[in-house]
Parts: sequence; structure tokens; C-alpha cells
Amino acid sequence: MLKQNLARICLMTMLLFFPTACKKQLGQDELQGAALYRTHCSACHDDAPEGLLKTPPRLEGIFRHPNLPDGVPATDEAVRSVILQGLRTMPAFDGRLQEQEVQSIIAYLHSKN
Amino acid sequence: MKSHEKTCRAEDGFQPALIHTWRSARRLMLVLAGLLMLCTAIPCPTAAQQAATVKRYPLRGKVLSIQLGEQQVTLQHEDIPGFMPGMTMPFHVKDASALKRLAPGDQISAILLVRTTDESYEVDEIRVLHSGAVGTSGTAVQGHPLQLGDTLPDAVLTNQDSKTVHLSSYRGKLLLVTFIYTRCPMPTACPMITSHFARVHALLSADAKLAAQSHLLSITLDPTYDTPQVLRRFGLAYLHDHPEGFAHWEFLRSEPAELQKLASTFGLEYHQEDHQILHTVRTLLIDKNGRVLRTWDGSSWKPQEIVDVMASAAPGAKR
Repeated sequence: MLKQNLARICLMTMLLFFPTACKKQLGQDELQGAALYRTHCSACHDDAPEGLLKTPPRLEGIFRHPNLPDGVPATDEAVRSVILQGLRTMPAFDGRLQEQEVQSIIAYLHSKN
Repeated sequence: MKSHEKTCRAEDGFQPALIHTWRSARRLMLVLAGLLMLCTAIPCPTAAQQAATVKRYPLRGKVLSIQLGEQQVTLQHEDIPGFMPGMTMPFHVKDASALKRLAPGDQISAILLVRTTDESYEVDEIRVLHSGAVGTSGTAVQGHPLQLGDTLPDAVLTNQDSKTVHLSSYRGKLLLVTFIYTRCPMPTACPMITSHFARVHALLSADAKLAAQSHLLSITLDPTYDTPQVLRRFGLAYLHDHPEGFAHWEFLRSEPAELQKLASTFGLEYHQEDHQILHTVRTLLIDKNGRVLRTWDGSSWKPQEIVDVMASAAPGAKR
């Protein structure tokens, strides 16, 4: 019984300490996605100015929830569609972002989960 | 003696439990100490190692604009091998004084510094290869703007329902006109202006007499992409899905070939390259006789401010 408790405590401690002890290094794809995110997404999703009719949602953990803010399932394809086609007051990035760049942004969003 | 023995026996009765608890606690402390040592022993990047994770990428491109306040330069850059393909985007500049040596149109080389630890990036070591000036290519538009009191010339445009409209047909109403494009990614530009227009529309609509004497127009700077269908979808998002609002606030497009002339007339400056449009923000209020009554540059104006000006020019409206 004592050994089981100790094992549980060890496991929980490891889970608590390890993510904070070492910050995850981003891969090349995620790194490019981070740069693109800062250029194209951050001004609205992280630093939206006051006065917009609708404040854009923050995107940390976007894939942790079953649905995106508009209610559709939180899949890579749904996020890709929103980025390229726009949604409501969010502008479309069709033509401004290449397919591979969209995938990099999605990879980065997964890393922020 | 008997009493002492009894006491000892009584202590003996719960001593094993105490010892057991103490041993458990000691083991737990040892395990936690061990885990802490393990965490610190793992080769996490030190500050020195983190500094060493700055990657350097050679960069070449053309200066489109300089934002001294934000310490940024907007570049149309070539491919950055291993990092990103060529595109037009703003970059933070490490050395602010370098911006003073730059001018729009300059061809530059620089080093892009990318930190893998906090995902930030900035340009440094900027060298001007060739000096130049935006606008000589013919795509930049320097307009001769309408002045206060000037009469708005007629123009033919198409609205969000594919209906042809003439600017002259709005005579008799106070006309509030601005320029936007639906793919504008700068929140302080088109999204902010359109948000302001949505509030102006709502405020005007709350006063029936003022609503009847006024009309709002948002004209796109990207008529190739902004088809009537795209404009309708965009407009509905700002009209809270009330299509009847289009009777008071329309979203228009000109023929692409007519846009430069139209933008010049309204005093707009814009620069289009591929899918990126860099433009100034201007809103004009046209009186019932078709003359320019007031202009607002930028997007820092308040919706109520414009509504008050319109109310003062509309007989019978609430003040």
C-alpha cells in the first residue's frame, strides 16, 4: 500500500516538475509557424486593440477543446479553412499564406496546446 | 515500578505507528529530494546555452515602409532559406538608429535573428544595397484629394447585392464614405473602421429621422478579391446578420481599372503588391448637396463624434 502511494506521488511529482523544468524546444516547422503567427495572427488574437466590434479569441489550447469558438469540431482542416477563408469578422488569408505556411501555423498552435 | 512498566507498555502500544509514519515521511522526503536532483541534473538549457540558440538567417528585400514608433520596417523580402518563403511583412529592428538611414524603396541586406527559446525574431546588421523610392513603379497612388466644399464627382459602383449604384444617386442624404478591404489584417485599419461604421449605423438607426437622412458606404480597395458575394458575407458579420441593414449601409466595389481614379478622388494613398494592400485610412462626410462637409484621417475618431456632426446637419434629428 505504502509502495503504491509512493509510486503515485513519484509519478505526480514527475508530471508536475518535468514540463516546467525543461521548456520545449520548437521544431523547424513550429518555429516558422511561430514567426508567421506573430506576423499574421498575434495583432488580433493576442493584442487586439480596443474598439473592435468583436474581440478575436485567444488561441492557446485551441485544440484542447472539442470545438472551435464558432462551434465546428477543432480539427486541423477546420482551422485551415478559417485561416484561408476567414470567418465572420476575421479576414481571409487566402492568397497571402501558402499551404505549407498554414500547416506551419497549425503545427505551432498544436505546440501551444 | 509497576506504574512505570504500565506507562512503557502503553507507549509501546502506539510506538510502531509513530515509527511507521516517520519512516514513510522520511522516504517521501528522500524521493522528492531525489526527483528534484534529477530535474536539476537533466541538461536543461542554461542562460548561456539559450543565448546560443539564436539562429542567423541572411535576408534581402525592399523597404516598403518604416514605422519609427514601433521600431519596425515593412519589407518585401526574398526567400529566407530554411526559415520562410519570400513575402511582405513587418520586422522589428534591433538597432532603432538603423531605421533613420532607411527610406521606402531601398534594397537592403540584413541578418534575421531568430531565438528558438522565446520564438521572437528581429533584423540586424542592415545594409542599403540600392536606394530607391516607392511610387515610381506606378502602383503607388498619390491622390489629389477632395477639399472641404468640393463637389463629389459621380462614379459607378456595384454593391453587395450586385446592384449598380451611382454616387450621385445619394444626393439629398448625408453620405459617410470610407475605404476598406475584407482581407485587411491590420486590426487598427479596416477592422477598426468597419467596427466604427457598425456603431455609427446603429446610432443613426436609433433615430428614425436621422436614419432616413443618412447613408453609409464602405468601398473596397481590393475589388478583384472582394466580389459582391464576399462583400455581402463581410457586411452581414458587421450587421449582426440583419440584411435589412444594407438599405442604410452598403458595401461597394468599383471595377479594378477604376479604383485608382476613385481612390485619388477621395484622397486615398495605397500600394498594392500581390495580395497585400498598404493604404491610408480616410472617412469623408458628404452633405446633401454632394459637397465634402468634413474628413477624418485614421481610425481614432469616435462613432458618437461623427453621429453628432451628422445630427447637426440633419433637420429634425435628435441632438
